Amino acid sequence: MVAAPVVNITVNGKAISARPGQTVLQAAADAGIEIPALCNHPHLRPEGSCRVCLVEIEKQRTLQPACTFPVADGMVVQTESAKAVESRKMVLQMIFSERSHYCMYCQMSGTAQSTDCELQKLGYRYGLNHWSYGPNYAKNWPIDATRTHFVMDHARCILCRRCVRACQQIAANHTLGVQQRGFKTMICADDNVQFGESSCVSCGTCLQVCPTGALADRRSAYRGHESEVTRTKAVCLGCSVGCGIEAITRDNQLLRVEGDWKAGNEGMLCSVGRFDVVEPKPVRIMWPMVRTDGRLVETSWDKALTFAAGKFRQAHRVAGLASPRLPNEALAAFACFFHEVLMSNEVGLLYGEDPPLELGQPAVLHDVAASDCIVIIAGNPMKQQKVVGHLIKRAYDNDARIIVVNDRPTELDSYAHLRLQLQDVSYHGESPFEQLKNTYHLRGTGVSQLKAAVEAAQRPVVLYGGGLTTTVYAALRALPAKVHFLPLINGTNAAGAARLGLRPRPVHGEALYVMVGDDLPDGMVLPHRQFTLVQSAYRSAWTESADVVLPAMIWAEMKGHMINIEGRSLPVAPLLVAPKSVHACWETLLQLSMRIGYSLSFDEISDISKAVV
Amino acid sequence: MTAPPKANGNGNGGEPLDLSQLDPILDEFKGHKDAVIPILQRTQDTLGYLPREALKYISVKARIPLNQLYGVATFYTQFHLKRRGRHLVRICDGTACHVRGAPKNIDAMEKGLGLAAGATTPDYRLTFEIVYCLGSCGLAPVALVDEKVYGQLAPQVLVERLKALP
Repeated sequence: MVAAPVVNITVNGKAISARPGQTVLQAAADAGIEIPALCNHPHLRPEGSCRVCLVEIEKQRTLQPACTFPVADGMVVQTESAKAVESRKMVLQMIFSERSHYCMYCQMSGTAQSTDCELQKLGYRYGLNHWSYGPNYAKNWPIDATRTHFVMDHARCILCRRCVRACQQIAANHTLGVQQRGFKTMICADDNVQFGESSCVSCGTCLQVCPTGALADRRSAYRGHESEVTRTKAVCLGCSVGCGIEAITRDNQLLRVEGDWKAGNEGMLCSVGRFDVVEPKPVRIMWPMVRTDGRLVETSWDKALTFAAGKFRQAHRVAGLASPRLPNEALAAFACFFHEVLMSNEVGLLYGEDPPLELGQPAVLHDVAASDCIVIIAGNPMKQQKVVGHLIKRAYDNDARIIVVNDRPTELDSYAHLRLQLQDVSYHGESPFEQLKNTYHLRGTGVSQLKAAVEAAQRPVVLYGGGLTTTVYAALRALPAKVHFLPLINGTNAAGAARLGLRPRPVHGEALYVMVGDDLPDGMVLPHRQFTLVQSAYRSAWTESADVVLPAMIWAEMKGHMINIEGRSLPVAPLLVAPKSVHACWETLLQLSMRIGYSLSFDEISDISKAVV
Repeated sequence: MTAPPKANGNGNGGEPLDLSQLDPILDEFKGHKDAVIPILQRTQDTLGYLPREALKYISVKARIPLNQLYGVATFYTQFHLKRRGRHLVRICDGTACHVRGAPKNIDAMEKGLGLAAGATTPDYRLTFEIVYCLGSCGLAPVALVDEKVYGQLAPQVLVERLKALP
């Protein structure tokens, strides 16, 4: 093996071994030397527009932007020389004066130590204590507050174009752009429509990369600086993708969610994972409730559990439904409770669909973005697994071939280079003879088109939804071995549930135990039974129809594991502490089984984790 | 700051646009997503300006993000998002023309024809622009009406000539 080539450079007198192709800024950062920059962002392609990172490089006539300047052997760089600092100060002065930056009104503003604004931080660092040119009053800088979740204040914009690049390069949504030029330059959406009316899908990637307060999150603004909040890495339980998140919490409240750059979703989230989770929710259920004289009345855990246990003992058969958004541990305890304590097999998932069968080599999320040929069979990732939808669009931008096989129109159709029906890629054995010939002809062309496209590709990925016929599976199994497969599972932890034998299905029994966690009905009605126990975090139509209601944890309080579309077991870590009177699902089940007169084969969550993970 | 153009209405005085005229242009540049400027130039040659509908049509057909088309169309002064007049009047207000009386001509446009700089008459007959040097300083003050140069121009003559245009 040949040693990786090294480029030797000197930065501020320190010898650094850089990799060829690195920029001066990257090489310095790897060696622990921070070169100030505003338009540069480690997850976006460098652009060199802010000029803050200008450094002195020997044998270069002028100062050079470190973020775009490639390293070369023997290069000698000074990042904080008098010349570089003087220029940086002037650039900062001009950025401050280009718009009207009134720091004291901005949610990002703070002291030199506490500020969250990258511009203000540099202002402090370089001692900018007055305006050389004055703020720009020439225009009434507009504020666009037409989006539900975040606001754009053009007065605070420094035109670094991080948001524009995030929209192009990460989300591949191409909503944000730049209009006009020179002093008239403004960030705009589509053909200069208001953000709320644009093609923006509120993924919030732009919000996450904005260096100043120009893009402001409505819910978390003014609720704490970075130095006052806690960041916890966790998993989003919004859908089966299982995106890595960084939850920003303070005083046991969830303020904001950001995408984890190091997880498979590479910093991206959808509006569900980033914004919906912090939207106001219905009234939280804090104590058990038992229906007395037609009304739900709060009572103690002991009374409610004893009452429910009595009802379950009396019942001939008890049925159970659990939310597919619950972690493995809760689902395993639920299944175990039904099988061991209630001796019932009538247990299934509250909603969702069977996860598709496993096929061939599993793909990881990055394979989708890096693929040169993506086949999407059934399913609708643009709606159901939105982050996967963004990854497909990113691959499309990199000239990947997109093949959509679906009987229904989907949002991906406009990206498809080839559009097929499901019957085009399946066998048909129908008579009469003429029709048979027809379908065989279709099958022949469809399957061969699919095969040819996949064979011609280097890194083909097949995304497939549920409900496929065996004949379609047969066609997929016949694809070349280099294909990686990603199932488009509906239901956050439907994969974990399937491994525990829990599937969405009708269940029978005169008593019903529904474990909904923090799900809300959204119009869905529970089957009517003689006795219904609903364990739910929030009051809803479900709890209103129940005979006994038990409190439940919300997603951010749960602990356990989920299995995502990549088939990986992801730890679900609690971000918030549950109210004292709210217990984990498995604890409730343990208590309930004791009152029924049986003991379960676990008494700690770690026991369940060991058994199911 | 100029108010953003209204989202509805094509700035075309309500006349319908025939966007299928653009299909040959889009066919010619098919697969060249980087050919934004030539596509916009040819579109403007065909329609006289770049209506919003046309940008949207190009965006969908050629799969070029709308913000990119809009960004390029607003970056270069050669592109116009509003419908222009049949005749283009460019009055030079460069140094030589300015000292030789260009402000009087500009004033005459405003008073005699009701046309401010950058404006178009409601009947789309004239569009008036101020430019800085047409390279004919010896003839100052100069105006360029379509392709014809008028030198040593007096305000009354300018207004009469423009009124006489079809």
